[in-house]
Amino acid sequence: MTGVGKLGWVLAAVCFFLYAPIAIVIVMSFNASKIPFQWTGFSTRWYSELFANASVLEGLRNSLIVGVSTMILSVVLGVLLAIGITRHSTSSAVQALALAPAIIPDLALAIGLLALFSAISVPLGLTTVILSHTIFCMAFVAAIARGRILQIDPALEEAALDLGDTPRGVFFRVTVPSLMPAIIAGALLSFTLSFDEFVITFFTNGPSTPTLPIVIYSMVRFGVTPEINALASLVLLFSVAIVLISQRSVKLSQSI
Amino acid sequence: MTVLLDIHNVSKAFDQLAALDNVSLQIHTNEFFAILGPSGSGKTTLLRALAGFESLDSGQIVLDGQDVADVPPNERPVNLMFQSYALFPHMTVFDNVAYGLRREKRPQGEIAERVTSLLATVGLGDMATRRTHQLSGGQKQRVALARAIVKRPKILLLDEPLSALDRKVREDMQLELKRLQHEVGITFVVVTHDQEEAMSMADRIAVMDQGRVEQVATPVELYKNPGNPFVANFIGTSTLLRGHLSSGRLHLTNGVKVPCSLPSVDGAEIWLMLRPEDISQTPAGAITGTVISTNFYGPNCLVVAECGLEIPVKYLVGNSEVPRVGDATKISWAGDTGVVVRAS
Repeated sequence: MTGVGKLGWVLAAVCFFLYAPIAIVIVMSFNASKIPFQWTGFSTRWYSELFANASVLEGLRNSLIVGVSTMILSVVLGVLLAIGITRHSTSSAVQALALAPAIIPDLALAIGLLALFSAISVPLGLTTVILSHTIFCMAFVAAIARGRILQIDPALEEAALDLGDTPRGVFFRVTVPSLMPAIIAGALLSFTLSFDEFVITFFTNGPSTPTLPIVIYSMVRFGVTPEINALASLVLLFSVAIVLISQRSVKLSQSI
Repeated sequence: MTVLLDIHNVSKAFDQLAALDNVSLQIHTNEFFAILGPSGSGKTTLLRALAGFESLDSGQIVLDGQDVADVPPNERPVNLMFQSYALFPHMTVFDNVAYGLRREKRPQGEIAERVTSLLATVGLGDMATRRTHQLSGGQKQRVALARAIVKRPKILLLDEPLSALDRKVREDMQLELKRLQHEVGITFVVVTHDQEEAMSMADRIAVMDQGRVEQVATPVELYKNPGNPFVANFIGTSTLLRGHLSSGRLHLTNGVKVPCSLPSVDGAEIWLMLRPEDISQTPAGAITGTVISTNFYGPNCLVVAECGLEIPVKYLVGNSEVPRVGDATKISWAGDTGVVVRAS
């Protein structure tokens, strides 16, 4: 009993440190006062100011461009990578190398990419950010897709071929639909990873195209304003929505 | 009878291990042919080679006069029903069956008509819009069967078609497969490890072991005249006594002599195969032994007895004379019963 009681306290502490900051951010985003932690009344003023802020909107636009591009590239390359390492290789070294970008520290990857881009004189901008995000997001997609490929019956593709379909037709009519749960989960995961990625973006981006996390960072340097609380609350809402959608779609397609 | 499929000196090795060792077979038009063998005998490799999923190291596969050894699976006029059925889970029953016809770019109306009538033939007329995960094992098999014959292939290959079904459903499906084969007039080639399945359905059976074809014959012929000790042992139940014949008796390697007046070369090593029904349990029997196990079937009972003949003897008794384990028993057989089997 006492053991459970002590663990209960640990759980309560973990929950407190996990959810209290989030709750504070959300509550404060509706605070009418400009002074933090001094509640003067409910207001949606900071949300309307946010949408009038040109640099926030510019950051949001850039983040969406990077997020969507990264999502598309990562899904295509990650699924192909997963098929390659599970079907056409028995080497565990190849598998480890393919999935490594997902666990390499961001900082190491960021510095390495920056060095590479300057060595081959590629101008920094959204293109370099997209390429850099794709490298690690692709590894996440590959890890998810690999799990799915190992589950599906290899006879499915043979059956389609046996029924007269071409190898390309088999890929689009049987392989891709069979991998759909992994493709949806991988797409949403790479979008969310890319959307709020900071370290790699900071190193590989040019000065004229800040993404949303970088805009927020430069705003926070002058103190946390209620406007930032509003922005953080919106980003949170958006991310939670995407996670819920992905869980739902995976559950749906697993029941099929 | 015309030869539809001529498998000629086909060999295939995996990592220097021969899966198919110089296999030659001829399969006739409209035949129900079974390839029977224990696991690892090469039967599945042969089936996959016929479908085009395994390349050959040497030899030819001639289908209807055309060598198809280098034709890819999607261009062979052959369809395979997979052991796992391999139904597409993201499609309805109708779309599964229509898959092959759509790849042939048949007109919509023709596809709908052929799929619908075939689904009715296999008894799934009202299941067309179901998803495959909503079907029972037997229904899944019917879908897989319909999908594989809808293109009217020259040969339908079936990989262990009944192994995933319950005993009752199996018996129904055996009859169903026979009926369907007559109805659609397609040559069936079934691969199985289950001799009962092969014996009850096939017109002819090829028995395989270790990549080689041991014998090709009708079920009755295989049972009555096995070509070598492997087939004699693999098909049905038998007692195989090894020795050499001399003046109307079989001299076993341990010195015991048993009756055998069958014609054979004196002195050559042979196996005498006795089916359980060849041996009778009688008080006048010259061979004595001890019962070590009994297996009651209903109308009769299979008795296994140790009689000092190097291997236990298996014989049938009626259900009124079932002995108990440990009982002493006396058996005999006539000198002209059984079959002489030579090593091939």
